[in-house]
Amino acid sequence: MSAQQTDWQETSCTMEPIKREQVIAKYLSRTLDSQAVEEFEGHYLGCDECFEELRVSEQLALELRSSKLARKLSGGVSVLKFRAAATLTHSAAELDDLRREVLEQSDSRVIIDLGRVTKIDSAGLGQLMSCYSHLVRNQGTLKIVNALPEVRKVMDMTGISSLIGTFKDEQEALNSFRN
Amino acid sequence: MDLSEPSLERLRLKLRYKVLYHVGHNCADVDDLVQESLARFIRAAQKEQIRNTQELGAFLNGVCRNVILEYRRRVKREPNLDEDMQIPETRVRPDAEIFEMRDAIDNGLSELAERDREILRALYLEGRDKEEICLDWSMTDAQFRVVLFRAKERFRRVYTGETKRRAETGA
Repeated sequence: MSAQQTDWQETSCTMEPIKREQVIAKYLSRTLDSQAVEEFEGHYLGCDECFEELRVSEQLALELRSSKLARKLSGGVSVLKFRAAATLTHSAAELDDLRREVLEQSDSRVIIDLGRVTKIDSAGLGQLMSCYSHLVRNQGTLKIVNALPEVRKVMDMTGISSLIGTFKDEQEALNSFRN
Repeated sequence: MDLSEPSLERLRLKLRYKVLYHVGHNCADVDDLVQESLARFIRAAQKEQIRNTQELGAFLNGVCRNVILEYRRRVKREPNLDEDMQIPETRVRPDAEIFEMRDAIDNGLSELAERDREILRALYLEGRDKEEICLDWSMTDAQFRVVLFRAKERFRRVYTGETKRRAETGA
C-alpha cells in the first residue's frame, strides 16, 4: 500500500482510476486490511474526487446486491414485480430472489407479476410451484399476472396455469382475492 | 486553511461516511461522533496544531478514529448508556433515499448484460482481485476496464441526474 499511500497524499489526486476503483471495491466489500482502510480513509477525507467515486461505487454495489424483485402491499396482498428483464431458469439469480421474497416471508397472499420474465424453464416452474405450495400450506394462495406469451405457453403446456391462478393484470388478480 | 461553512459541510459528509462505516447504521450516536470529530479538528486548526496542512485528511482521520475508539471504550465500560445499540453491520447499507430512487436506477442499469453484472458483483461484493476476475472470464485488462467504467458512468449519470431532479422538485 505504500505506493498508494504516496498517491493519496498528493494535494491533487493522481491515483490511477483503475487502481482507485480496486481499492474502493475492496473497501466496500470489507476485504481491505485495517492499515489499508486507515490509509484510504485518511486519503478520501482530504480528496473530494475519491470521495465522490466512493459514493457512486457504493450505490452501484447496493444496486448489484439488491433483489430484482420489487415488493409492494396492496389491500393486504403482496405484489412482487421484477424491476428489470428477468429469466426464471436454472442458475438464474432471480430464483433466489423468488425464494427470499416468498418462501422466507410470512405473507400468505401473493401476486407475482411476470411481465418482465422473458424465459422460464423447469427450474423456474419448480420454484413457482414451491412458492405456491408454501403459500397454500400457510392458508394462503399465489396468483400470477401479466405472463408474456412465451412464458404463458410453457405454463399452459405443463398444466401449472390451471393450478395457480393466472390473470391478465394486477387489478384482476386483486379483485379475485376479494371475491 | 479553509474553514468556511461549505468546506465544513463537505468534511461533515465525509466524516459521517467514515463513522457509519465503522459503527454501523444502527448506532444512534453517529451525528454526535461526527460533531465531536469536527469540533476537535476545528479546535486543532484554530490553535495551529496541524503542522502538515498537506495531510489534512490523514489528520482528520486520526481525530475521528480516536473519537470512535473512545466511544467504543465508553460503551463497553458503561453498556447501559445505550442499550439499543446493536452490533455494527458489516455491509454497506443504503440511505433511505436510495429506495426512492430505485426505479430510476434500475432502469439505468437494466441494459447491463448479466455477464457484466456478474463481473461487477465479483469486484464490489466479493472483493475479488482484478487479475482473478480477468482470468475467470477470459478477459484482457482493457476489456475489464471497459466493463467497469462503462457501468460506472451509466450509473453516475442516472444517480446524479436523479439526485439533481429530486433537489429541484424538492422530492
